[in-house]
Amino acid sequence: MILIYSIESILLTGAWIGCFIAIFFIPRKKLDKAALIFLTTQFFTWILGLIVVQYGWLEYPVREFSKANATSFLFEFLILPIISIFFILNYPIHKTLEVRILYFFTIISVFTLIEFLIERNTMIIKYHSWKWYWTWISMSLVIYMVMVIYRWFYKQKRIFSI
Amino acid sequence: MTIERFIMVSVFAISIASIFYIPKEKYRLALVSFFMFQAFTWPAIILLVELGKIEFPVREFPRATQVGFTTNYLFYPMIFVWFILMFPIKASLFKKFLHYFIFVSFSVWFINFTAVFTALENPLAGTLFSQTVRTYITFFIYYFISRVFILWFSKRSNLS
Repeated sequence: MILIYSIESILLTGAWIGCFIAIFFIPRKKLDKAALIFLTTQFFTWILGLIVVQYGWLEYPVREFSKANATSFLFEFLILPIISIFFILNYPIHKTLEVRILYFFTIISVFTLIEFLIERNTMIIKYHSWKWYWTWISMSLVIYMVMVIYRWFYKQKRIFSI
Repeated sequence: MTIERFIMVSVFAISIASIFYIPKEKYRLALVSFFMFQAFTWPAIILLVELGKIEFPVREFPRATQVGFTTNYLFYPMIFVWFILMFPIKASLFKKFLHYFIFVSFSVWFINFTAVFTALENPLAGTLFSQTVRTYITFFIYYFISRVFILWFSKRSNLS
């Protein structure tokens, strides 16, 4: 490998560092709730990531643990769980329905856009039959399911509402 | 049906069936224990395969991963769930150690059985004895750290 500091390795290293910094921004009082959200998210992403790669819908040409694993360990085990932590802990549950829908829509769309740009410009992820809106749908579903489990776990009301 | 497929299916079935034996008031404790142990087995097994210590010749997602799925995703976490649910909290130190030892042995000897008799799991480094010692030590560490986490978590979240 001639070009060691490729755009991929810069992005991946930055993401690892960013994730570890983000952990320190979790409020200490909510550390147990954050742990639950983290663990629940990785339960879903582990199996979904495997299915998606197994059927060849997308691939991760540049990844960590490339010998053992063809899925993106970083995305499934750190990035998405950490997004999910901040998403759910800051969810505007007492605001109106419009605000909640806007919150959900904006954040998921931003991350879909980021993934789309990464797909276009780098070798970190490549879509085959995958489309950007599948990212949007799958990410919303995972976060919604985690939110439902979270509310059930802490015995909150209206666990299925958006 | 090959022996490998038979073990995969039965391990899956046992894990799912044992959910129905969890008492209803312990659901939340069981769920968090299950997820916690998964968060251990996943990175650990990927690391072991990446370093060339184990291989899984017969596996569920041959294209997506070199790692066996059902055992790490369902079976070992489920054993840990029962370890937590049946833990003798008020017993003596010796009985607690025995409890650890029984459950860890269950996972370790399941791994040894699959390593010797099937193509599900195949140790690449060391002898069977050194593999056994290594799995005993690592599983003891996983169980201990996971239990410490569960104790902290149940205290913070008021789990029974």
